[in-house]
Amino acid sequence: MTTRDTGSAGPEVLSVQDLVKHYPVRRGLFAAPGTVHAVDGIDLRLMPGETLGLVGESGCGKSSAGKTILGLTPPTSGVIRLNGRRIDTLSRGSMRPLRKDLQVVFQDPFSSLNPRMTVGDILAEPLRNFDVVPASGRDGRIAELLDRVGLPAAAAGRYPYEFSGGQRQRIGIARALAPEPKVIVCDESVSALDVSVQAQVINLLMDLQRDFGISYLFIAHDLAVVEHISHRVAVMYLGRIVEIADKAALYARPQHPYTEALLSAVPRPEPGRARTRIPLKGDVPSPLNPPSGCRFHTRCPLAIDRCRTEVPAMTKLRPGHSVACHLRTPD
Amino acid sequence: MTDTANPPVPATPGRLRVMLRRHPTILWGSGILGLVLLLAVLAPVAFTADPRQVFPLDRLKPPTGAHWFGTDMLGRDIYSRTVYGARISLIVGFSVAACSVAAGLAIGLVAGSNRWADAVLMRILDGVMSIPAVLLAIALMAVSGAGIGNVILALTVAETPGVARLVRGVVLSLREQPFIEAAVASGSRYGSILLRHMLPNTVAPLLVQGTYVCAAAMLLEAVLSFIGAGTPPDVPSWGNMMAEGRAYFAIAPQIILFPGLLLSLTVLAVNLIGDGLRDALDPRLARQH
Repeated sequence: MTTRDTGSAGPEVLSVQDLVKHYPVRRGLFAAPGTVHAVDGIDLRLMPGETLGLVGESGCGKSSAGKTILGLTPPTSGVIRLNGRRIDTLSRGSMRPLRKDLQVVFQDPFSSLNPRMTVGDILAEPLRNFDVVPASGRDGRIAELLDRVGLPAAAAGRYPYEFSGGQRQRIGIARALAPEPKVIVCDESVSALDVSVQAQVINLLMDLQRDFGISYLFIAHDLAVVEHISHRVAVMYLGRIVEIADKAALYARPQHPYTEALLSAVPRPEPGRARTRIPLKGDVPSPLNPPSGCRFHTRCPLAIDRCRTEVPAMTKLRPGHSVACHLRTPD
Repeated sequence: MTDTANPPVPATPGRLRVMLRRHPTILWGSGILGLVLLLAVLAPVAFTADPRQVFPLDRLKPPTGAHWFGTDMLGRDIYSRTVYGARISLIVGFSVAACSVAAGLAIGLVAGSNRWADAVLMRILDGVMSIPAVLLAIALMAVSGAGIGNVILALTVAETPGVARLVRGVVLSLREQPFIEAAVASGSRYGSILLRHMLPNTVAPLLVQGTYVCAAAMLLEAVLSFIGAGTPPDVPSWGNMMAEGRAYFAIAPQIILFPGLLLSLTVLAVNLIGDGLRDALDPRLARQH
C-alpha cells in the first residue's frame, strides 16, 4: 500500500485508511435507490499530542468522516485503527471499552447535553462506564474536571439550561475529558459560539493538549480557527481529501486550486495586503452523483481534459505536503 | 449533588407553584377533578341513599329536598346513582390511562429500538388503529362479555396503539440527538441509554397523552354502556343511566341531565389538565422564565 498521507514518523494514535462512507437513499417509490458518497476514500494519520484540522465546505463529508471514525455509524469500507488496533470491524460491545481513548465534542452545545440530567450526572456517566475512578472518588473527580474547564464545582448540581452556550461547551469538553482519552474528535466544536467565546474554548482545548498530550481531530469550516489550533491541516472536497500539509506550508503555499480559492476567501487583518480573491463558480456538485475524474474539475479555474477523466492520486510534493492534483508535481 | 455548600437547585415545590401560576388551566382542571374524585371516594357517606333501591311511589320526581337530582322511572335517587356512577367512570378512565400508557411505553420503546420489531409491531398496531375505537371495543366486549374489567381491557386495547406510536416517535427522534451519541461515546450500553436518557424524556409527552386517553376512555365507557355493551345494566354508571333515561327525556330530563353534566364536567377537567400540562411541559417554552 502506498503511503498517501504525510506526517512525522512514529506510532500514530489514530489512523484511517481508505475510509468510505456511503448512505443509501430512496428518492420516491419507483426511483432507483441512490447513494450519497459522503466520504469516498480518505487517509489520515494522527500523532500523539497533535491537532489535525479537517476543513471543507458544508456537505463535503467532514462530519460524516468524524462520526464514522468515532464508530457512531459503521463505515462502508476502509480501516480505522486506534492505538494500532483495528476498530472498524468491532461489534458494539467490544468497541465499548475502547471508546475510553476516543472521545467527542459536538457542535451544538444545546442538543449535546441531556436537558433532564444534572451536569454532575452527565460527567458521572463516562466515569462510571469506564471505571476511571472508584465510586467514592467520583464527586471529587467531577469537581476537578469542572475546575479544569473553568467552571465552579457548584455547577455539578445544576441543569444544562442554566448555562450559556460557551459554558455548556465547556461541560461537553469536561465530559470528553473524563475518561482521560488519547484522541478527541472535535466536530465543529466552536462553530456555534460567539467569536470571543470561541477564542476562550480554543485556548482551553490547546491548554488541555499541552497538559495531557491529547490528540485532536479538529473538524471545522472556519479556516482562521483551524490555522490557530492545528499542527497539520487536511482539506476535504466532496468526500475526498485534496490536500494535506503542515499548517505553515498549507497557509503560505497552498497547492491545490481548491485550497487556494478557500484561503483567498479568508479575511485578513492587514489592510492593503489582501490576497487576490479567487472566486469559485457554481455550487458544490451533489454527492449523490459526484463528478468524474477530479471532483473539483467542474469548478476549477485550471481544469484540463485529463481532470475530467482521471482521478488524481495523492502525491507527495515535499515532506509533509501532499496534494491530489494533476497540475502539481514534486519540485 | 452531595456538595452541601452549593446554592440549592430550584426545589420542586417552587417550580410547581410557578407552573400552576402560569398555567391556571391545570389548577381549574385539578379542582373540578378533585371534587368529582372526592365525591366518588366518599360516595357512601355523601348524603346518598342506596343507588339500587327503588321507591315505586316516587317515580320521575323532579329535584326536591329529599331527592336533590330527582328520581328516575323506578323511583331511584338520581343524585346517589350519579355519585356512584362517578366511581365507574373514574376507575375506567384512570385504569385505561395507566394500562395503555404502560403497554404503549413498553411497545414503543421496543419498536423505537429495533428495526425488525418496529416493522412487525407497527403493522399490527396499524391494523388495530384502522378499526374505530368504539367498534373495536364493542367487538371485544361481544367476545369477552359485559363487566368493568372487560371494559377496561377492551378500551386499553383500543387506546394502546396511539401511546405506542407516540413513544416510538419520541425514541426515534431522540436517537438522532447528539446527547445520545455522546452517551454512546461515553461508553453507555443501549439499555442504560434507554433507561437514563430516553425514558425521562418520554415522561412529559406521556403524561399529556395519558390525560387524553383518560378522557377518551371515560367517554367511550359511557358510549359502550349507553348502547348496552359496557358496564352491566344493574351497575349505576353514567352511560347506563343515560340509556335508561332516554325514553323519558321529554317528561323527566333530569335522568339524563345530571349524569351527562357530570360526564362533561369530568372529561372537561381531565382535558384542561392535559392542555395545561402540554403547554407547561413544552420544551420550546421551558427556557422562558
